[in-house]
Amino acid sequence: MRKIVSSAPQTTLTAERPYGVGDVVEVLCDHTRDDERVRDWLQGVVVQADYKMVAVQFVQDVYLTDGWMVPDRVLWCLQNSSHIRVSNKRRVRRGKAR
Amino acid sequence: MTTRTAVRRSPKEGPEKGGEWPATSEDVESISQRLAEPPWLREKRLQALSAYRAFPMPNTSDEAWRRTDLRSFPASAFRDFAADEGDVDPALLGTTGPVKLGPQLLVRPGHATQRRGQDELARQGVVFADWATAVRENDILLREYLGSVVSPQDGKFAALASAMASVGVVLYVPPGVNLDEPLHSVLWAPGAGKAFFGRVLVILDQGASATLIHETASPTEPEGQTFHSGIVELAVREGARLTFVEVQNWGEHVWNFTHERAKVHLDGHLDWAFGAIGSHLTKNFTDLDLVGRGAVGRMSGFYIVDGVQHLDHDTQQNHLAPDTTSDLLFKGALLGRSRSVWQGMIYVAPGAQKTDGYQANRNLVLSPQARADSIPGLEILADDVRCTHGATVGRLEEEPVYYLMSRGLPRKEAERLAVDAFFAPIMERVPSETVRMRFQHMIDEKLGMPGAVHAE
Repeated sequence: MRKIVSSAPQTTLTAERPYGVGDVVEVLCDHTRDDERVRDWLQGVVVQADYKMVAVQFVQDVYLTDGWMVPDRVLWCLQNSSHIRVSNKRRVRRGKAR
Repeated sequence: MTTRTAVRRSPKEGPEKGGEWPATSEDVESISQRLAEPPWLREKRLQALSAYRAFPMPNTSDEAWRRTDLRSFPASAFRDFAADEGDVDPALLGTTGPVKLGPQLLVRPGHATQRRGQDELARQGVVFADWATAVRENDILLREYLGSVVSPQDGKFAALASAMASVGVVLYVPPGVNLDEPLHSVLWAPGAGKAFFGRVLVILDQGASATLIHETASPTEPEGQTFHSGIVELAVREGARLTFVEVQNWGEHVWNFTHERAKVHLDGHLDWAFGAIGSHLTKNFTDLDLVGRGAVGRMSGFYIVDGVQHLDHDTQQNHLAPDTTSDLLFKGALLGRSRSVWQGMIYVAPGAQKTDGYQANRNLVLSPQARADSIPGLEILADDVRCTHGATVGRLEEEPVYYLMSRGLPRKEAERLAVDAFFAPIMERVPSETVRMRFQHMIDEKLGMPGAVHAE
């Protein structure tokens, strides 16, 4: 599987506005896109947050940099990490079950 | 035949090292005159100067100084008593960030003091003043309390600060007055080649309560060194409750020496928190004297040092009355080639039954070149007491780092979080959210977390 690596990360949040539960964010992480393993920004939702850390839930499979899949698709970030930013895209929803 | 050439070396240029700072009676007279001090105070200064001259310069054969070597102390390099001009770090004033502080004093050696929000304090009879104002307006108070907790006889640097102090903070809270809002004082002293001498005097009268946050700070100068010697005196009278928080954030060019003592009387309660990240070298004597039955003192400290910083804390918990409780926890992290020393002693006087004393020092050594010395001690002269102590020096545990990395955190961030977790027990003991966040920010800064985030 080819691995695509995204451009340099960018920080968009100021220190005065930490992320909170329910925020739609993007995280720079290894994930699957169109059956390809890529390292790029992936949209997710903050499911837990305190002044220091944020837990983000994803719909797609996400991986650690050494290749292991994260079973519950939750990654942690520091609030001031350069690997997390506010998502300006529309929220991606799963299709309804039939 | 070879000829011999004799080479004469001239002494290296620069200040003489290892000697004592050359205090003169002219300096003392001049300070006293400038502040228009009463004769009793000038006399007190001159007596302290005599004590300073009588003490030999500490050296490593003295037990208290065995691990702190002053041979490279450039004593003659410090002659200027006024701090440089320049803007004060706005973070110190609490004017940035989500946390706003209460009434404030900004003290700068050689410059006018800035005050904020003191009208309400005056209505309650509270004195919250800089040194010059206290000398002018609170003579009776100073006469009663000044030097009653820390004496010039406590050590060479205590004597020097007693003789030379020209800046300071005085807080007096009258009986039964409870101050809800934390008070904030800052000693801001930038500059190189300076000698700064300061003192803090806090008196909580019977049944009073207050929180004072006192910060000493300066930016690191690229060249030159500076000397600070200070005294902190805390008197917690019967049934009073004091929360005193000290933040030492001197530039890394500063030689810092302090003598600090609290006297806690009958049923008094003291919560004393320390945070130290600055200075080139610090030698700090901190004594807690529990002098009245039922007195309680809790001391919580953290320090983070890097580069070639050297921090030496000498703590003493003196149980001088029955039913007294002391609880000390100091935690430190060391990076680079830094060194920390903690020497602690619990002393229980004869007759101080039902004493409960605890002391612990934990160190996290984050670099192979860093070194932490931890020396706890007990001296118990009563037979119905409970005293425990402990000390550890260790490296970062790999397991928590691994678990954080298993959630996608890079190793460096995982290690920083593990360090934060190490300090969490200290943060839990800090009684004010305001202070907790300031400490957390200091830790983040030292560990290289730019743009550290505060809670709202």
